[in-house]
Amino acid sequence: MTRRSKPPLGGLIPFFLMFCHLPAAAAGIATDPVEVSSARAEAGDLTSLSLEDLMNIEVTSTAKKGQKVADAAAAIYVIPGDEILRSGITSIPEALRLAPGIQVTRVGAASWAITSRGFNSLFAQWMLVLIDGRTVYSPLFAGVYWDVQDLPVEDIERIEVIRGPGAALWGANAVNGVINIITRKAKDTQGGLLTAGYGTEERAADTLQYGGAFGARGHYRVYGRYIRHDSTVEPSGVDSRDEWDGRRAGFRADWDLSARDALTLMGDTYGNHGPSVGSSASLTPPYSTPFDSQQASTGTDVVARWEHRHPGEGRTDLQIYHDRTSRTGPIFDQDRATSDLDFQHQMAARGGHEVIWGVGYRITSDEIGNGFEISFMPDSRRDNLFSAFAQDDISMAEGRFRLILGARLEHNDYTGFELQPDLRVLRKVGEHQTVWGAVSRAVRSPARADFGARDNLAAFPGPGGSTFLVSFFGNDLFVSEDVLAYQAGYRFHPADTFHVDLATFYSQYRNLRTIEPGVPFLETDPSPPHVVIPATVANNMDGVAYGAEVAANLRVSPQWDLDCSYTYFGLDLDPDSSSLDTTSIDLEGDSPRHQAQIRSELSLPKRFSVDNALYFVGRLENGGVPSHLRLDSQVAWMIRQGLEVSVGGQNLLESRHQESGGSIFLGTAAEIERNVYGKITWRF
Amino acid sequence: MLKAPPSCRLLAAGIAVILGVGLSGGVPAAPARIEPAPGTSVEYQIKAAFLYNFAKFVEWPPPAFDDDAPLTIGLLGEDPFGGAIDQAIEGKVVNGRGLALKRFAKVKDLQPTAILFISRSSSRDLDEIFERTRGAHVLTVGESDGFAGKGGVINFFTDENKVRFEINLEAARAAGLQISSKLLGVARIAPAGAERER
Repeated sequence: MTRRSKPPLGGLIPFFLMFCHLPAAAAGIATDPVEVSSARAEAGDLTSLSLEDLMNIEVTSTAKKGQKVADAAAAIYVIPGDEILRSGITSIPEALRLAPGIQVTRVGAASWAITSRGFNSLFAQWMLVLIDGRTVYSPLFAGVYWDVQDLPVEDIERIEVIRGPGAALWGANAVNGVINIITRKAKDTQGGLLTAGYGTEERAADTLQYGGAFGARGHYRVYGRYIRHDSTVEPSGVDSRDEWDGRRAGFRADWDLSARDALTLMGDTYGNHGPSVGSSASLTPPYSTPFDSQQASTGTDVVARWEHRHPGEGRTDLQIYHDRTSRTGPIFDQDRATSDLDFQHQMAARGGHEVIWGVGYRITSDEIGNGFEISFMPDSRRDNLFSAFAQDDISMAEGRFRLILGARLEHNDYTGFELQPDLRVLRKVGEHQTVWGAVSRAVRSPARADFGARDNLAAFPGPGGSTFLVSFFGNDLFVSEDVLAYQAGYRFHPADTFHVDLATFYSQYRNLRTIEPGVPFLETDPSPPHVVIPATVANNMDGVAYGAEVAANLRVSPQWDLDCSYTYFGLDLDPDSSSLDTTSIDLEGDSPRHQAQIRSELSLPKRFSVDNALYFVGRLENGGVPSHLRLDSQVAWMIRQGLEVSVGGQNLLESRHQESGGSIFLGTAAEIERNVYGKITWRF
Repeated sequence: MLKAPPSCRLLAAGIAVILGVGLSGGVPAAPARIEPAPGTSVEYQIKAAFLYNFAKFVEWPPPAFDDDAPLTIGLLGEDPFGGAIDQAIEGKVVNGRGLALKRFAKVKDLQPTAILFISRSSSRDLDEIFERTRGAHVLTVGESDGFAGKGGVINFFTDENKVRFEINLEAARAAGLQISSKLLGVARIAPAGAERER
């Protein structure tokens, strides 16, 4: 079978396409912006400081795991930027392991499949991913190219992970969840930053950054970053040759135009390169052409956002961005340009109603450099997306009971109008308990490839010297896949030092994608003439997913924090009786039934800290991937204010392990090796 | 399910590593750097330190409390400090008096204290709280918009990501409290007459 290296690109028939999104601050279910300190002070007891000194310490919010999250009628978890740094993880996709209920599957050095609540596939990711309000969900193949979402982790303020549908607020394709990556304000990253390190697998993730001020009201930062990942290995022990390196630069500037207006301008540009080794189908013997070539991913994005706060009238946000991406490789090439405009208005609370509404428009156009193996018809396409949403958060009994009604209406060029309504209730029981429930509908709109892609997967000789070609085709009758999800949750937070968060769900999926075998036909172009064995995308499957996620945080002492979580998941897929597809049901086996983690963050005297995380991922039936246990550890020592050295490792228990079962499109999945590293961080 | 015994062994090994590190580390007496850790936060460590300073820089009228008795700080409502306040006052002596802490879950549980911190969770009961503290020489400290305007003495707010506080001088005078110029120097003075606007 074809083995594609790297980016999921090669992937065939895409799944969803993400449509609307909304600027970070919008969502009622998301936390308010959390101010994170860049200052680090000494010690838990600050009474020895003078009044003036106290006035000058920047604060961090308590909200991160407590209050705001406790008030959300959703399964939400916030990964604070500082926890990512303490974990020793140097990339965003890996950092998502810290969130409970998230399945992070590293398929190769540069590709990850990440989801919550099942359907974990490289080519059909049902999580909507936003970075500072900019969607990074690719409408081509329905998923995220995680390799290019590689901001310096030092600049991440927090990652909000919402499990379950979030479409009413966030837009289409937030079927199984939303990942909202929020970077620190320029004000919070003032001064210089240099990080340099070396790991046996993560060879480099080096950042040089400087933040300064423009007069009294503006702040900026600029950064440059160099990343190098070593290759993974195949189960046979052979090097996968999927190593890659990346260079990236970016900036962020924030101005307080007035007491009520704030303007943010930010952008990034990057280029990643690496070998691409594999083989593709060919119509002539030996029916497979090996390639040993190069691939590259480049991109540039610019975001501008204007926030206006009006006392008594609430807050408005206007955001505009432009994003260009390009990927080239031996199988096919793609260029994409996206422009997006979003407006939202969060009205001041009146009479127990907190209303937020917004409208958005996005235009995205692409040009595909078709190859024999992967081709798109037409090879260039422009799509428009219009959207509008509103939510009313109605508070009763002094906020002890809340009813949240929301809906989003979208129009896309593939399926026309899509309505995604959402109803949530939340009730506080006593001082320390919260229960919530939700019923939501979300859709995964067709991706570009669901309609117009062709993947010539494999060729083989037939009788009498004929040639057979197995090809997958998109289908312009493909409709949106949708989910109707029922969720219920319970939180118990008897003290600030302990809380438990339980979420359960039952989700009904309809019109799931299948790949239906068709009637073979003769094709003469390209030559030689060959018999095509077609398989066409259709919506012939339903399914039910169910499960529970429980997470607990215990602050044993001011210096020692423990986080644990456990996730149980089940999926039953039900192809229509008319369906001849026997492979799509394998998705059932792409997610583990059990996942668990325990993380310990310990601050020791003399500015040492020790962080350990143990992750358990159950067996994946599809591909027979055995359960595995992963241990990550880091020991850090702050030699003096601003200068820290750390050593640690990931996957410490095994020299290597497999995380994905592979697929007919991907071939065998690679194995991920142990990484041991040392790193120095200097803030000046 | 967990069919693979190696996993169980690994799990045990892993837990041992985590706990081993944890236990051998113990609970250090020496301060580590402040991490914005869950539960408590730098914000409430700062507020706790301010409360300590309020005890230091405010003078109560002599008859209000027994001279030898500790100066009490009351916490009303959900405790947002996560231990930071206990840590801040432990073993401290202010103007020759020790400090003590009392927690009150509900307004009806209130007892007289020199300082009363009203957490956000109780901010909707302000009228009733002020009714009870009236004339009792209580330094009321809040952290909600309009707290000073409604008759609270000191209110915390956040500005530019830093903790600030405002002082309602009329309310301080009404409670018979004398506030040191050191404190007034770093505070914002709540707009005069704010109380009358109510």
